[in-house]
Amino acid sequence: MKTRLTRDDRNGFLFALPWIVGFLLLSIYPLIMSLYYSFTEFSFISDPEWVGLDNFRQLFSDRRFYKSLGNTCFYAFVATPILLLVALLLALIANRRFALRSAARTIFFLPSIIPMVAATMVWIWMFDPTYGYINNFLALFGIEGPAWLINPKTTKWALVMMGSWCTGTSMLTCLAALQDVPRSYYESADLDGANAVQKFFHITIPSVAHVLVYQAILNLINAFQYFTQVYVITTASGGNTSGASGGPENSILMYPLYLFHNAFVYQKMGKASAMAWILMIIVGLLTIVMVKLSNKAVSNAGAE
Amino acid sequence: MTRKTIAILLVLLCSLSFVFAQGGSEEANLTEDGRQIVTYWYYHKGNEATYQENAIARFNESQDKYFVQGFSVPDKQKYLVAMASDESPDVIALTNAEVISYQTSGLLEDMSTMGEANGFDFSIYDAPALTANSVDGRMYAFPLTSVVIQMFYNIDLLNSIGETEPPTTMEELFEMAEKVTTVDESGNIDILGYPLFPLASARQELIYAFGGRWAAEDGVTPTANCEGNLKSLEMNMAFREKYGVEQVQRFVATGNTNRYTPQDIFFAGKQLFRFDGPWFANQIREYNPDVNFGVAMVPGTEANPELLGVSRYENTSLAIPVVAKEKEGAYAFISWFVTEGAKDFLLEIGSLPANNTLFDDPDLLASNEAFPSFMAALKTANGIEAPRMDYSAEYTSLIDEYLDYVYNGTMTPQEAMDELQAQAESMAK
Repeated sequence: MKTRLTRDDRNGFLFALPWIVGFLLLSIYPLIMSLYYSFTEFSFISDPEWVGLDNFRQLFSDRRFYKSLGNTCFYAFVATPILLLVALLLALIANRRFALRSAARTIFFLPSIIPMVAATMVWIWMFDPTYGYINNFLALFGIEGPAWLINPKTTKWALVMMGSWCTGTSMLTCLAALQDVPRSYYESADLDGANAVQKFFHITIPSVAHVLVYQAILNLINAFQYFTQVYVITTASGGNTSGASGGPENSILMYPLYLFHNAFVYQKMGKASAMAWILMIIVGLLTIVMVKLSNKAVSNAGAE
Repeated sequence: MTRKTIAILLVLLCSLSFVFAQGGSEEANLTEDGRQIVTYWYYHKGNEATYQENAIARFNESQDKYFVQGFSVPDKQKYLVAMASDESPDVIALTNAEVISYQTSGLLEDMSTMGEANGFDFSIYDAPALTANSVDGRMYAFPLTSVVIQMFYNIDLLNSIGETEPPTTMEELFEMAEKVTTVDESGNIDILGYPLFPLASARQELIYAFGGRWAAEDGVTPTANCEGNLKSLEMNMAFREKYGVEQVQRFVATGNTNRYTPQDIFFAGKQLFRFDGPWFANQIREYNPDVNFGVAMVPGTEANPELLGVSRYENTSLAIPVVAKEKEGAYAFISWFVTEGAKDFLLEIGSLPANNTLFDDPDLLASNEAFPSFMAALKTANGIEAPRMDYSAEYTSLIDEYLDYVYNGTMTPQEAMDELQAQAESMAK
């Protein structure tokens, strides 16, 4: 059956045209070109030269590629649950009725609107082993804090601490989900004699499970794109004049940072494009797995 | 025309203008008084950008043919993007390492040829300045300023151990450093004697002082595990191990976080020797004028005393991209800036000259109390150029990584340098 475009369809298409043109030129075209570049040797200023799978071969035999992937996976799989837990705890506090609740919600969210570069610079000072607030605070309990950003054993944990400070957006999403949990559930549980822990694990968590999984997916994807903080830290460290530092022993050389080094410091755009496509595949696969898990988690929660 | 038709036409207009926005129209290249416009991009910002603009103004005042328009472009990726998209500036300021890197991709105009055609006097440059900006014997930029690093020392700390003169060999320096270094009751370092910080100086001058090098004379053969590097790292580790690797790292971390701030460990009187640039003297005066400091040349060793004053050698240089449109005007500006225009600019910005006719300039020598030692170091021509292999950026980042392994005690100097050498050689292939 032939479908004729109505005048409204045509007008609608024309009104959407600027966006479509922008999408094709600024998103689809670079995407396709980066795929092409991933099979070329391309220094950004010279013409790309076809090298087949060389960039991928180089990457798979590159020690720093695996190091950056390992660092990123550490951050993704360690920081994501911690950050989610912090966000949920803050949301639970913000969901309770108490004096100055609005002020508390504002304070919890405030770090998320502070520019990341400025916040990271402040954190660098906070992590100072001698004058920093963190070690001074630990010293109150007789604990000698480490050299957070120069000891390769503690650098990634410093990043996790920085991340847990900035969970305002996740907190808001969790808060919205918590407010949707019907009060009648808790009232019924009270009648059955359930305590706070039982209510948390059998009502609250299942009711917000879908939001938690959604948030976990987002956080995981963000973790694989983690760049600004490590870029600022490694740039501010001042020791490396190549402009391509990955922190002490490359312990915070995250995948996107190494991609950036390849593209803009080593001028290997082809290799960087290959890295971008590998990252896209990894994130795509992870998203599929997480969505499947989320469907399962939500259906289990629904059954409960 | 109905409103709907007008709306549709507007949408179409927007779409077309978006698509063709980059087409652009030819911009006029002449000023109102008929002078040719030359565009100059420099990476300086803040006060340093003002000094660049002052120099540009002086050039423009002297001209009736060209008019330079300066732009502060601190993000050098924009240089590359502009050159790649045919929107290139006519003159760019860049480091000598970038000159080599850009010219490896054939991006820069041959300044030797332009200079020879215009009767430029190349004798104003000593060998380090010439080679640092040359590829295959041809210059691709004219250097404007030089960077060398020399030794600042705290006179009061030195006197506290009964010494009056700074060391001239690393062996003497180590001895003095041990005497001055103090730790508190928790074992944390309170005063650091050995110049382990800044890290960039530890990687360069502290290595070069022992005759160590990261590349051979040709600039492209890696020499990570050469004897000088190992000797330097062994002394470095002897000091670290004596006071505790963790404690030294903590102190260095604090030094790093507070570098060039009022809490800088040297300004706070907690560092005996500091390998730093001439700007450091101004910073001491700004942040803590009470620090009683002296400046001397970087020591050599007992076996190689001729290494006195050894340092990295870097330049800020001026180059013309091959895709520049106004090359003659660009050359006129550059040749003026590195000769007639250099002194006023250097006095304002506080940098060392690349032009050797200014090494003994009384005004420059008087402008910074550290300059006499730095100028003396420049005259020794003991400047070491950074490695110039086409993978030098990757190599430098690897050097930093392996030095971390040494400093943290993860690897011995020999193990780390052998592995680094193997990595560098595999990159060369």
